[in-house]
Amino acid sequence: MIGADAIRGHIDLILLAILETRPSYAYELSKTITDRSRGEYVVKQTTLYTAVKRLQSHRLLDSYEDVSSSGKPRTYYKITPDGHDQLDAKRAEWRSTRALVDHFAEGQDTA
Amino acid sequence: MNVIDSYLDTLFAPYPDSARMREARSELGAMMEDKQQGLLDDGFTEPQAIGKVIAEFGSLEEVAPVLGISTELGGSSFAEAQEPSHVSPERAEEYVAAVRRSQWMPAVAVPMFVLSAVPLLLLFAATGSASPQPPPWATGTGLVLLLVMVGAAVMLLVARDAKLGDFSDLEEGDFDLSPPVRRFAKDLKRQNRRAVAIAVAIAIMLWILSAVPTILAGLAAEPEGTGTLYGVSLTLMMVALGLWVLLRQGWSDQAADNLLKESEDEDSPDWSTSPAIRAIAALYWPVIVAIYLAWSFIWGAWEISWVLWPVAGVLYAGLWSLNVAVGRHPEGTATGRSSA
Repeated sequence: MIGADAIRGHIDLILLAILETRPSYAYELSKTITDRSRGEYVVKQTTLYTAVKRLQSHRLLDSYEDVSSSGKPRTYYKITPDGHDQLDAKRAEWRSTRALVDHFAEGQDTA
Repeated sequence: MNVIDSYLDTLFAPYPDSARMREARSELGAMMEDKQQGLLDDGFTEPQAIGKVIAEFGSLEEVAPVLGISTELGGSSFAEAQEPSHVSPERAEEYVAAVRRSQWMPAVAVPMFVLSAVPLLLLFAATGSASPQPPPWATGTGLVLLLVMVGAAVMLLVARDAKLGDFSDLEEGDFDLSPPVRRFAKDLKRQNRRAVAIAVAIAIMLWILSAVPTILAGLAAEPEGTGTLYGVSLTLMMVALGLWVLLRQGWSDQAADNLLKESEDEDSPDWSTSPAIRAIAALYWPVIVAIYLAWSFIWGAWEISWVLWPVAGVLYAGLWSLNVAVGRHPEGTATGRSSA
């Protein structure tokens, strides 16, 4: 199980990446995260809700009302053009972060 | 209403109602409902599913920034009144200083209620033995002095409330107790524990001994005389002195208990938050004096009427205990302030 603290800084990237393919609603987002992490990471509902609302307030996401597959009215979120730009920036940031952490974590002094 | 609904109701109860809060409540509720259904589809039992949904809910504090709870706090007076506020250690110190500075007001005012009858009693005592009825000027002067003293005492108490008006949230326990403020209040209490204990001991001793002058004067005075009145006056002075000693030192515990949201030392009817008990406490001794004088003069019962004073003292103690027993949550503001 992966700790919530390790993921917290990357939740924006995760959400934007999931929404890049298609719009979704809160529960579906949390289920997608759990499924794709094969149960390694379960996002708390308040963490997810807070992140979605923050992204929306930064105009990286848009919301609209629709009916879910189970036939219930749900708030759907879709990525905006600004959101796409942000996703690209976050991806680049993640690659350099990963490279940096790998550099130390693997203990190979290549300098 | 299902378990999840009542869970959310409880979580959202402390926050002011707003469109954004309702939206968050409904969306989080929908998430939980979907999740519960998903878990049921996966073969979990209903209690298991609910347990898991609640365990994976998270905390509402995390959502607070995006809900703008903090902006709503400053936004309207309604929200301000509804929402516990944060108290800085500096403000707590200011509060304690204000209580201490103004403590002389109740320390003078409450004994004044008790003493208000003394001039009247002394005037009767000085003039009473000459004739069966006291001269009208003595009655008049005594009553005027009584009213002046009661009026002055009421004004002092009102002025005290006004002086502490800026701190009404602290007095009513409408705030979040932070660890530094808790430590500060506990220290304040500890530093003054000895002084408070001495004051309580002196006051109780004075109150116990206060019966002695009345009883001695009652036994010694001639049946038709008013000599008992000197004893009664002395008794009232001792009761008043005890109250003054106790109240003068009362600032530290009163301030600390309000900061700690405890009220274990607010057992005195004079400090009670219940207006009814306050009114009774303020009027108690003047009314007893009136009954005593009426009984003594109208029925000429000087030889026996002094018995009223010990009885009144016991009743006063009873009123005090009754307030401790039932006055715990007046107007619902002091719930959770109980002490053993």
